Amino acid sequence: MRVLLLLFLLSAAAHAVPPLPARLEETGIEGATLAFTPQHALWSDGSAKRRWLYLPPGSTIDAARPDAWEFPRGTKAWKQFSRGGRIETRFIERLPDGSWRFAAYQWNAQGSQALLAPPEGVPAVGIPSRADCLACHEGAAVPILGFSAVQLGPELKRLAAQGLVRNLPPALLESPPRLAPGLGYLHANCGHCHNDAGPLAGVELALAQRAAAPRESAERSLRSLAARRDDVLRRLRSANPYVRMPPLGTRVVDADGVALVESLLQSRPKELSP
Amino acid sequence: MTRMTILATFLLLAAPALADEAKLARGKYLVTVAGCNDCHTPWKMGANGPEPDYSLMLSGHPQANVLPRAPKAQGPWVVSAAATNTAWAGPWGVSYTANLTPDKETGLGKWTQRNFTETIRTGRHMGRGRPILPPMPIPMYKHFTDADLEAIFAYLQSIPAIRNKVPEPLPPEGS
Repeated sequence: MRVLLLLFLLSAAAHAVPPLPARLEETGIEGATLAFTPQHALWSDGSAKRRWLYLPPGSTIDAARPDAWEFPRGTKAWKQFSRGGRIETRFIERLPDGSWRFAAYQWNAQGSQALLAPPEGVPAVGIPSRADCLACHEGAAVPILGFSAVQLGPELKRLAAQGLVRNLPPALLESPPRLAPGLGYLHANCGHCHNDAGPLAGVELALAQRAAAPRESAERSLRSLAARRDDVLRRLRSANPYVRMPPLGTRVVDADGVALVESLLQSRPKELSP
Repeated sequence: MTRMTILATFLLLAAPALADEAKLARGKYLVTVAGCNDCHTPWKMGANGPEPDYSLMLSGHPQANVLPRAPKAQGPWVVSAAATNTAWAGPWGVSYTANLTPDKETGLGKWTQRNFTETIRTGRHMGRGRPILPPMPIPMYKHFTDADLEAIFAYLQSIPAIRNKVPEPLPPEGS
């Protein structure tokens, strides 16, 4: 009995999750496996962004489900925001039990050190609360939004050749996802919440694109846009923070993004007729 | 079949319906004592003074009631409210109380329990949209238990649907 208890305690200790590190450097960012850039960027009020991913040694991402990649336990991802100097670095980690945790690190004025931001964020400089992290990252099939078949497109072959991603359907390797710019913009900026499977499915605005069914998801998006094109454009253009979309992580209207969506809506009159 | 068997069968069949009824009753109680009608049901002048207009129960700020610009805050008086108690102005701008009836286009008819619970827990519309504005007491209501929020949502889904498109909130002037 004592042996069993000891084994249980040792097992529990092995799986205990340490608290979030106080400093960014302690998250392991220096040992990241690769840097990456998604095809379609999330608008962040003009901030420059850099992104990195870490996979534990010997592990790979299982892409058998092309739109819900299975990241190994221990995966980490970082996204660094700069406006003039470094402002913040956001951090996502997959824990041993398969759950994910989220944090943000705020850089000091000298840009020499980044410390863990409080759970409520730092609204004055746009650092989100942990609840706001979840608001976007929990709405999609996988919380890492920028590292997916749709977002990596032309990079898929290289990632597969490097052995970082396995089980990609051959059709995707031969013909990587390539979206119309307007659809790509809506996917990157709206699709993580506005999709058919997440908590906002009832809103009936499906803007996420699927690598497994690109034509169907594009047509579905255009159909759902048909019913509310004016409202979508009004919200994208609005400076009213209570009306504008996306509601999180941005306060400035993205004129270039609005133009991409306008162009999409003007170029697809047939699909967009109610 | 013995009487005991008949009674047991009846109880087994009736239990879910009884549980639903209890949940709705609990939801109605919570909506009542938590003061939801204070702001989400428009008030009118009655024989004994202002009173909730229950013909518009929980349907939020009336769409047809277009208000003039809110008065400027003066001294310690920083908040003003419309006579209906459904529109409020303060440092956050102007907020209009939401339509909580199950109307599919203008109320909570397409909402899920998750949407409702996450709204109250996070203080964001549907858990991920714009902030829920004062005077909605989110800092207090977020402490409702899951069971309470399930009862409240079940009750709100059971009341008559009223079509009423509440205006969008306004930011502070000059922002």
